[in-house]
Amino acid sequence: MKIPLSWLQEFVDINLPIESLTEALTMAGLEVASVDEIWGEPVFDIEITPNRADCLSIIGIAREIKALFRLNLKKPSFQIKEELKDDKFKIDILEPQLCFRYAGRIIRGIKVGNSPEWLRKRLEQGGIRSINNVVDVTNYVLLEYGHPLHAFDLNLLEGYTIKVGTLRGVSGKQFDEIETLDGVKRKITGDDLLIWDGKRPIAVAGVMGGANTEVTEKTVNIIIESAYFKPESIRRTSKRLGLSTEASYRFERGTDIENLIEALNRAAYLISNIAGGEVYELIDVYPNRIAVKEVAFKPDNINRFLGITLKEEEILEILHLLEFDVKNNKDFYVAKVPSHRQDISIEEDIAEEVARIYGYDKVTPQLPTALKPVEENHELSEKRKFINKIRDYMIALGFSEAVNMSFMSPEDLNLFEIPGDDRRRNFISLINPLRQEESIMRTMITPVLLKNIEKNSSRGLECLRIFEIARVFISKEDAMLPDEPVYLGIITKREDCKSPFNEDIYDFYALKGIIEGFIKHLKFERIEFVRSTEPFLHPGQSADLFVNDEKIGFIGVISPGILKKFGFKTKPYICIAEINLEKLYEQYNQLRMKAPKYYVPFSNYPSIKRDTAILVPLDFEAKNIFEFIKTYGSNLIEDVYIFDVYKGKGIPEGKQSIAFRITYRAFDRTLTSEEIDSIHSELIEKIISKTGAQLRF
Amino acid sequence: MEESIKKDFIEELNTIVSAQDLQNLKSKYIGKKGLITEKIKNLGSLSPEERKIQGKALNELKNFIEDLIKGKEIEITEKEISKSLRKDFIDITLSGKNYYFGGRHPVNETLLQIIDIFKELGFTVEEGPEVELDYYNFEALNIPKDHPARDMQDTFYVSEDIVLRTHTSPVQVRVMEKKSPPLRFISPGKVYRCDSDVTHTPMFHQVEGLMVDEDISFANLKGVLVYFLQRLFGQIPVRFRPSFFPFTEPSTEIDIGCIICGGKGCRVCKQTGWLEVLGAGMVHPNVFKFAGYPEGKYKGFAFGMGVERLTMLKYRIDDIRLFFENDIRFLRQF
Repeated sequence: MKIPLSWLQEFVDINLPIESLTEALTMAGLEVASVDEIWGEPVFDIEITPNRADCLSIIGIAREIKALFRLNLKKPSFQIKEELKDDKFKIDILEPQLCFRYAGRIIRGIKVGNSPEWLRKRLEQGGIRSINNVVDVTNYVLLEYGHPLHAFDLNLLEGYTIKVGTLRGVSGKQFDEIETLDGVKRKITGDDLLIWDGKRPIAVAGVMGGANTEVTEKTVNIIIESAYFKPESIRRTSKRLGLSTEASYRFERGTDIENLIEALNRAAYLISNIAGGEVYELIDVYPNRIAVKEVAFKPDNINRFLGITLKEEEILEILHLLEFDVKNNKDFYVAKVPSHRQDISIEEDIAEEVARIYGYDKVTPQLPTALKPVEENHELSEKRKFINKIRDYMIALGFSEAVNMSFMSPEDLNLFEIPGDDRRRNFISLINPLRQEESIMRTMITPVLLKNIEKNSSRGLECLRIFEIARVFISKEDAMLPDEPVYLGIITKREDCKSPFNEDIYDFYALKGIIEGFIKHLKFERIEFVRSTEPFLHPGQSADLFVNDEKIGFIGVISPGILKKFGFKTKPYICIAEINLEKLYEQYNQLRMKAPKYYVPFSNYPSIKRDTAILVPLDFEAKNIFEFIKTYGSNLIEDVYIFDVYKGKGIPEGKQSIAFRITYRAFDRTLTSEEIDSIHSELIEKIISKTGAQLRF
Repeated sequence: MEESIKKDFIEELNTIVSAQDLQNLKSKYIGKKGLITEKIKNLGSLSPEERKIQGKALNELKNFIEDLIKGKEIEITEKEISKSLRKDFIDITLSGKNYYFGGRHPVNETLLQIIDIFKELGFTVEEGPEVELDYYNFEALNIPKDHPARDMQDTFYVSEDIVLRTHTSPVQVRVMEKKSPPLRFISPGKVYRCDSDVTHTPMFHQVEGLMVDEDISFANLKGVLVYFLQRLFGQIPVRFRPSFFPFTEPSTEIDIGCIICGGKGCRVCKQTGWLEVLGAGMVHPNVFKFAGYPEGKYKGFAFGMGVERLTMLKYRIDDIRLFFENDIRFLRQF
């Protein structure tokens, strides 16, 4: 709301420096966004919160200043000279539940023309374009009083009448559109409140007038409307039409129903002064008078609620300044709410008014003492700790944490070749997305991580290791709201990552090691990497991760075809993984419930290590060795690991050499070399006979 | 005679550079068949008088040689070690292997910091869904349909009744439906507004908080939030302005003295010297009514803050979109 200082000074004697006034208004809840100079005068731009419709006017702001500085409010004084009689014109409110009051005044014999400079100046300072002297006066009064008015060309009205009602309420009428003053033909529905003449709609009530009754240079007779429409109804129509006007903005926030006659009179007075013409008697239809609101309050309650100690008189004085009419009622007070303050209806509202005028800054901050214990959401805090631990683990391993928008494009799922029956196709769509690429809630994390990598690469950045922990959204048929499980997405890219050292922290095994790292830390018994069928992964270099037979994610190298689709010009080696942390946490939790973690004793007797290499076919999987050794079941075997895999020179075509080390240790004695030799050779013989491997010497 | 042996030995010793040669020299003089050893063996053939004098001299000579050899031994070992060390010198100015520490996203960094500060005041953490019912996001927070307050937040709709939450306040209602006061918690998380420019992204993070008990005052609200802001930003000035939120009454917006210019006025604070960082207020009785609490029994306050905004101020980041571009040069700074 733009407030010219000079206009304000017509109503209150305020001569403070601009900065002090800015500060005072801001600290009273009328935030001054800026002070601009328009027509050589300071104009405040004040942000009015939706509850303060009364401040959408010069007089409204003046009234606040009056209360803040304990001044007098000088309302405009004027007198309509002569009023002519006309008892033929009829105003009819057909739906009083949507239009509470409708008043009008006819003025005959006006001369429409340009507005005088003072009027144009005020409108421009207020941000409104000048049109002609009649329309300008209605807008002037709108800024001054905050009450929207509308002038119709009386001669263009068909039938000497105005009716107020919806298409549904006005029986027998068939209209589906109205051309508004801005020249746009607008569809109307049965719910929209309209203004009618004897035949047709002439305005969308509270939003914009119709072109068919517009005031132009030819106009000589007018009728000015000043009405109160139900705020919700105006808002619905304005939203539906996508048309917000100075009028609708005020009507939907609630105007002052008791003051609309004064605004109407003020406009009639100014028009007859500027454009000439004779003013006719007031027509006022107000079927059900709105009762004055009364709010009971106790000064004690207000003091306790705010944490202050104002005297009763001080509270009463503040309310008096704000034009509340307060009556003592033995042990409490009753405040009659002024009609312009429709936002006040409970004791807390009174408390806010007291605090506002007293000054929020005068309330001394007090930390609550003797805090009572509150019940912690343990389940949630355990899960948060679990997730934070994984986050910190990834960071300690050198990964940067990304945060992306929760949106994705359905096209991303196509690019990733996600099959039609996959659960990741059960996405949530937005009705009003900002962009097509952000039109659904993401059901997986790695597509956007791939885009992050693509962007970084295109900026010439190398050695990329990124992760993100975020919810994905999977809609469910049997529930209103989707599942929102937390996922971990990881991505690494090896390309141009040159190092003087021979190690590769970007390959499949590096990423697998990271995942095994924390999964082993959680002490899961049964984890399995099974060749993955995810369509976007390299079939030979990918795995699905199972924990206790439940799939909780995948890991693998992105297939080259996908990379091309994501705009990679080169063919980088990119590994991704995506893990359902929600499921992982569930499994972890179950494990802890079933088998609490206890200390496991270990032996201090010396160990004996034996290394063996076997020749096996190229498609032989290492896990066979581990599985066999497990089923062999010697309690002397402490550890087994593979330390070398080799194919090439010296190894027959189609074969590879796998070398592993077994560590033996007994709990109760020192093992002898002979003992282990015999166990070990028996074990190796069994492995060989079971797998068809050959011993490599 | 001993003198000439001594002289010969020292001459020979001085030419020696390798451990092997030293070993040979040692054998030559004091080995099993060494010069001195032989002489000592032959002492028996001498008279007791002579034996005593000779014996003493030979033993002294032997000790003298042993000492020098030991000394030489140490010298040679040291030389050899230092020689082999020199051979193993590496370029210690080469960068280490890739075990660098990664980084937490700055928004999450701030989020965790906020949670920690509120923990000091005994606040716990609660969460709720991001795809939320209109009821929890608006209606139960005293924002009916067709209310102008809905304009304060541009909303993404999934259906007529389902929205992307525009604030984390719905968690308030969900918790109040289940628990009775005293309540003291914050709810951090992602929120969504249908808005995108230099200062707005369609998704951002919020921390919302609620404290409810039988006797909570506006002064308590100020106490808690001043404590929080001064823990986060240091001893900065804090001011409370009246404002409006449908779910609180009275409502307030909270500014801190501009940390960029120290309150003198700059581009960031739009020359006002103040930065708006929090919204808050006393819980509106209608919200308690929606939660099913007995009328008038409880008071409380709620507050909310944008985590990106606080992070931008903390690290002087001037474009909110940087948070979601995930440029590695940005991420590695935190």
